[in-house]
Amino acid sequence: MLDELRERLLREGVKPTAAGRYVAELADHLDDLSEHVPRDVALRLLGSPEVLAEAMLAQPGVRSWTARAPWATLMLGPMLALTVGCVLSAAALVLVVRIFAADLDYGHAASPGTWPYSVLRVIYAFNEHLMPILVGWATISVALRQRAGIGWLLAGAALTALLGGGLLMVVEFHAHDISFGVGLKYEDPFTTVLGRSFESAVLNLILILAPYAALRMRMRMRMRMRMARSA
Amino acid sequence: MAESNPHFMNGVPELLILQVLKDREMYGYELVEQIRQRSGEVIQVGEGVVYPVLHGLERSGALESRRGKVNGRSRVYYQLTPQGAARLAGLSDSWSRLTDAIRQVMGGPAHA
Repeated sequence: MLDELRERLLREGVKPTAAGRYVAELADHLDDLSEHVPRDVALRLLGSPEVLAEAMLAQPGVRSWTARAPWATLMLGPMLALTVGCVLSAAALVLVVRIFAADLDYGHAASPGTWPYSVLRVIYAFNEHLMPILVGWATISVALRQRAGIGWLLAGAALTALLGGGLLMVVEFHAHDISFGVGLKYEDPFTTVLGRSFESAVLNLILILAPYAALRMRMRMRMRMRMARSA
Repeated sequence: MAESNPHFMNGVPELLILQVLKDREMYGYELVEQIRQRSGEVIQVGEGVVYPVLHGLERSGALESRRGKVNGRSRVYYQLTPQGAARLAGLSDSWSRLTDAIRQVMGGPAHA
């Protein structure tokens, strides 16, 4: 009964932490009641699932951001995460080079074989190949945990894949200075970058969605097991 | 056993919870038992509905909670904050005025 209640609350948009805490306290309360009265009476005294759900849903401030504004958590959130991640990693590189290689000619510091160049390649690789996947998985995890609609989940994953495939971190080493910025590879449709960006986006999407099916199957199995236990 | 009276209870659980917690901190089951005993078993709702009210009062700063052990089992204890005490005073005052007004309408003597 309590697992059904938790599932209903999540589907109604209640924050997972609030639903989890409510159900945990109800389980404790049921244990206390069961020490004094038979289990069926204890369940009746606790309240019907409808009454318990309504009591929670009537409280202000229990609905999650994903329920109130799925576009914010599942679309704007990943976009911000990717952009901020890109900017921060580029800024960190520039800062490190300025501190630890201040005596170098920055123009030469960017040549293959130097440590700034190696670090730059690692950051590029992380931003281009790993960060979109991690952000995509986080987006799907939020969508699943908060029972967001499949449409929002797919839209969030697709946007993350597309932006992750096209986001471009630019670090330019000049003789006496370093500059950095973030742009989109998609902006010039006449270069081969376009093709590579879309290939990258498609690959991102596949890698982001691949674990989704496994997660979904696992959640279904867990729910069936819980229901079988509580029946 | 008395029947539940949910319509009459609208808004009242908050007042009862704050009043009962005025004396000492309690966990949910203990709190419901106290309300039942003090009301002579007249006030009975689905016992689980106290938790959303408790959580709401905690979010608004009227209550604080902590985890504690009872007979080796973990329970969430709730206690009144100064903000909760002020809220209780306001609610008690409103409730007294309302019951006095109802008593007057019913023809009985009002409180001094």
